[in-house]
Amino acid sequence: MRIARYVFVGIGAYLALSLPTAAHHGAAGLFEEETIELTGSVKEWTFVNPHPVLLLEVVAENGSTAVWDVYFGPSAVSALRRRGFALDTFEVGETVTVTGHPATAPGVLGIDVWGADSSVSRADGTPVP
Amino acid sequence: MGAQPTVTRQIFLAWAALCVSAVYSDRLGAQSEGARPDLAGVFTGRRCVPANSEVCPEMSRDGAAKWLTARARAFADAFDELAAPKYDCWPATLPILFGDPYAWQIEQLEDRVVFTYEKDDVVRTIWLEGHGHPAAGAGDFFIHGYSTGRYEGTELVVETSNFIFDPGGIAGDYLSAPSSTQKRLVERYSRAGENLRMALTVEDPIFLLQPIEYVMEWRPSEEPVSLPWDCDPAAAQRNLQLVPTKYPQDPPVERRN
Repeated sequence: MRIARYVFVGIGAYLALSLPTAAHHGAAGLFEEETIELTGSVKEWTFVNPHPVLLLEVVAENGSTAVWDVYFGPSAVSALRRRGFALDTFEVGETVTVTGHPATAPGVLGIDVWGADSSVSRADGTPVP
Repeated sequence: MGAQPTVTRQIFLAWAALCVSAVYSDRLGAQSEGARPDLAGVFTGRRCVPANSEVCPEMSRDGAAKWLTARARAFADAFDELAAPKYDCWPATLPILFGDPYAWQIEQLEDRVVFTYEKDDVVRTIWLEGHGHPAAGAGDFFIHGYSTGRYEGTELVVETSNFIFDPGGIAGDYLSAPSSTQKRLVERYSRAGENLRMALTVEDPIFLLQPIEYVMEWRPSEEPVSLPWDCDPAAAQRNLQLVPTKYPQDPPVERRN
């Protein structure tokens, strides 16, 4: 059920489309330009500042489990709320698919889903929020 | 002989005109002093003008590079992100706070102007000149400095000094450049249509070769500022994993929340 899919789906438009993240985070290159897609179950959803935390438990094809940290760019609670996110947007255990940019730091399982080429959706494909 | 009364009358009229002019100019001066620009409101959607980008290039370390002194660059190169105080919920500082994508509010009171920022619950009080507010003392230093202000025509002019030393006080967020206790900001606020415009000058003779200047605008927001920010240290520290330490040979740091 919680099958991980590490799929590269595109390169290119990130710099232009995710300018808010890039601008806020400077030229540090915290996330890759490429996007990947992950499907997993929600382990934690904390709607706090400075950055809400969404932890996704992902099972890889070899059966190992890893927890991915989902980043919403530089956005805090107020910015996410204006986009429609809320305290109860995610339920622990529900299946979610995210597309975004993986962290560049070695060994860090993080993914930024804030850019326009990124997305979050529920098991039935419904976009979140 | 007949001309003398005319000359006298002309002198009298000129004197009278001067008196009237003096009285009116005094009143006009008082009116212009009282007729301060209306800058009150909640603002959001910061933009750099005329770059038309969300933040000004000078707000990043790379963008500010040509203004940085050698000691600023050396400090920034040596500084480890792990030591950045924001991971302990230290608030965003000036001028980086201007680049954060959150709403803020201006309240114009008789003797002061209050800026309330959604980001990090920052509140700045601008003490208007001429109201007897005490100046900052020689040993008084603050995260957001000590601000005084005055109205000049259509502008609110805010001058801020007495900043503490700040590792990200010139440019910041991940790649930062420091500012010293000699940092001084001059913000000039005015209306640009319905937008709020700020022309900013940042001076720091220790870390800047010359002042940095840029202009930003915000549009009015129909929503109130969302407060409190109520920073969660554990959430703040999650971002630290994205930036590997420069000094892996040092013992790991367990932060106290």
